[in-house]
Amino acid sequence: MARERLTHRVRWPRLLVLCLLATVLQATDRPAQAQPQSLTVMMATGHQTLAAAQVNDRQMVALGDLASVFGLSVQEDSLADGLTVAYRDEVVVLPATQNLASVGGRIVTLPSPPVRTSSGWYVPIEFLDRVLGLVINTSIERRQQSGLVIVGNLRVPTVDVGYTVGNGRVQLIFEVTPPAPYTIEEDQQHLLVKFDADALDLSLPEAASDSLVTSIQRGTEPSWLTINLGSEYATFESALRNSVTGTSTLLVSVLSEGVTNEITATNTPSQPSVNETAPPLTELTTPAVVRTIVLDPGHGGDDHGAVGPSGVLEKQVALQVAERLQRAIESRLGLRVVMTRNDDRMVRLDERAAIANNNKADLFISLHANAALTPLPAGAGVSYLSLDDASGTSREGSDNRSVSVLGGGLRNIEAVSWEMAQISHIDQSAMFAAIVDAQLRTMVDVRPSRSQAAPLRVLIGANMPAVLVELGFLSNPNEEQKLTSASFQETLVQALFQSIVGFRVHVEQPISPEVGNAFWEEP
Amino acid sequence: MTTRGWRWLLVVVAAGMFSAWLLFVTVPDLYEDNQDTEATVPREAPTELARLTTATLFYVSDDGERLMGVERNVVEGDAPVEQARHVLEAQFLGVEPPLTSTIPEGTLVRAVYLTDRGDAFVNLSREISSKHSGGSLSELLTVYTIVNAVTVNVPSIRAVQILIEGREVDTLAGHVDLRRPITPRAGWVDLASPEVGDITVP
Repeated sequence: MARERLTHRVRWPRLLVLCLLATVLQATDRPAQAQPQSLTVMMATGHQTLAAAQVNDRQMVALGDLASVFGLSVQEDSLADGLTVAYRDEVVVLPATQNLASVGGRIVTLPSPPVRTSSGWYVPIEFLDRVLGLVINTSIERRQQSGLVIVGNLRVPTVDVGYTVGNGRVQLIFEVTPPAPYTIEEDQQHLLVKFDADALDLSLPEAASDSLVTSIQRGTEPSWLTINLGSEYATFESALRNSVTGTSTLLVSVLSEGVTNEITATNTPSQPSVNETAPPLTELTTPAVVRTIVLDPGHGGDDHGAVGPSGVLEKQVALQVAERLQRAIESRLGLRVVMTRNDDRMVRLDERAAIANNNKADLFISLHANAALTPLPAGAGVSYLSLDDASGTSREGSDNRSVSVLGGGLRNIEAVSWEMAQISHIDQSAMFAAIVDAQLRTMVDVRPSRSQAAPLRVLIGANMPAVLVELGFLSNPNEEQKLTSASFQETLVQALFQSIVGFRVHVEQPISPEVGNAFWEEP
Repeated sequence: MTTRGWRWLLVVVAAGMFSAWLLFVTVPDLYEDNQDTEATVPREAPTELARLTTATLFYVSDDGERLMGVERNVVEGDAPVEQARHVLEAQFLGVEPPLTSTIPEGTLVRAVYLTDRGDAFVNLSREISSKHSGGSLSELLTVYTIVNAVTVNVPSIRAVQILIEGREVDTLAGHVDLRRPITPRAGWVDLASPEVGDITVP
């Protein structure tokens, strides 16, 4: 069957606009003049517009504007030949002639020094995420393409919208990164797609006027999308597909009267199939395997764990990183996180595994800080359980028993002692440990030895993939200081977050390329 | 005072002297003998009369990440359990730099038991846990120092379980499972160290 099909997947041409603006500025030979653009600063309290400018061929923001948005105080320091930016007790020194900033003694590089224009001092926009986040002790994510500046752990998934038209239907494609739960509500003239998020980083296609869908626009709430329906609209169907890249694809088929979704009807014998290879839409939905993650901050209460030379306690570092990781997972992945402790209290090792088992967790991550007997060892590390050491068992440690079943007969069941529950998950634990090891190596110093098996007591009873992550060495004076800094903790959290994303990709059933092609392409 | 009174006084004084002798001389001797069988303090360096043998003891490697073996003379024991005790007592003695011990200062060997299947139970004083510096690496090195020292030097012992003050324990410092006998692992020993003696780790 010959079918007409158009495909439009167009992002907002922001980069093009930036390039054009830069070209125009160069052509007019005004090197130090500011050409306004805007960034959108999203915070828990709302969002504000922040003017950006092209100064000396570089995108910059006015320090005065930053001061008003973030509550900073800015002063020129003639002695230091630069600027000081203060926020509460934190002070940033910006030398006027060097492309760096000093944040509490820590040097951060910037693409250029601050620039004085007729309207005041400007700093590169990289100042936002590289420096300001350290100063206000909150993560700041800057999205170049959309101009969003996200302050804190707000859930702002990227949503790229595309569509195909033809044969009495419009198929809308929403690529959501990271995946976010959604609902679709319908009235006579609209479909309202509500994402469970704080806002959307939205890329809409060019105007698509059709008798089924007249337009797509932002909804009345920041995390909503409105699909304006045309006169021929009759019904819609939707399906969700999780891909191996950590992006979910929401498919919404808008149908006219009398038209069935040919993909869902593929396997119906009475109706000749248009696309013999396409499976039903429902098969595109990948069951989420990792739904609940247990984070286990080591030690607590009277058990301080290791103590650094300056007195930093392992139990505190472990809890701080666990809390940061919890916020990141919940806000950006939408997964359930259970903590074995939320405060400074003693939790027995058996109880930690029991919390994970009782919550039917899919992943168990125990967080610790290491210590050595000499100050030299440094670096993070990850371990999983070695069965042949402390447990004194092996993969064959389970016991097959026959039990009577209803209606007569016997059935073999595999009886595994609860405290040996980790046995059946060792392979996945080792795989996750390898993922964590690889991610850590891209972001922080890691011990020379790769992820290793060890007789770790807390992991034995965990009935799910489980690892113990050592965040660094408290016995190393340099690492002791790093482990207390918000920026280093955020880096560790980012590595662990990416590890979890990678683990999900590995364990969840990927959609085969053939299935994807069958949907997107003509046979 | 009458003659009878003097006699009574003499009897009382004699009884007091006998009691003092019992209290301050005989009983302490008995007490010390008993202590010697239950708790062993680190012994003096072997005397010339003691038979000596070479054993491999374990200390922190140069990079701080593993163990290295160092050959030392220790008192030779007649039986495996006695030999294991002598090795541990030597292992627990303090060392001078550049060596670094993995055993917390003040830790004592209370007793060593051996089962027919070659599992040794090493009963240590509470300092092994209460004075431990913490951290999984330190804990692993401490545990495998004890396990390797016993199993490497006493071939008839295949695994070691650590007890503290006579009781089974979960861990020393919150990480390594001590509820069962632990077998030695060559992975924690720096075999490339030039100070390593003839180590034969199963």
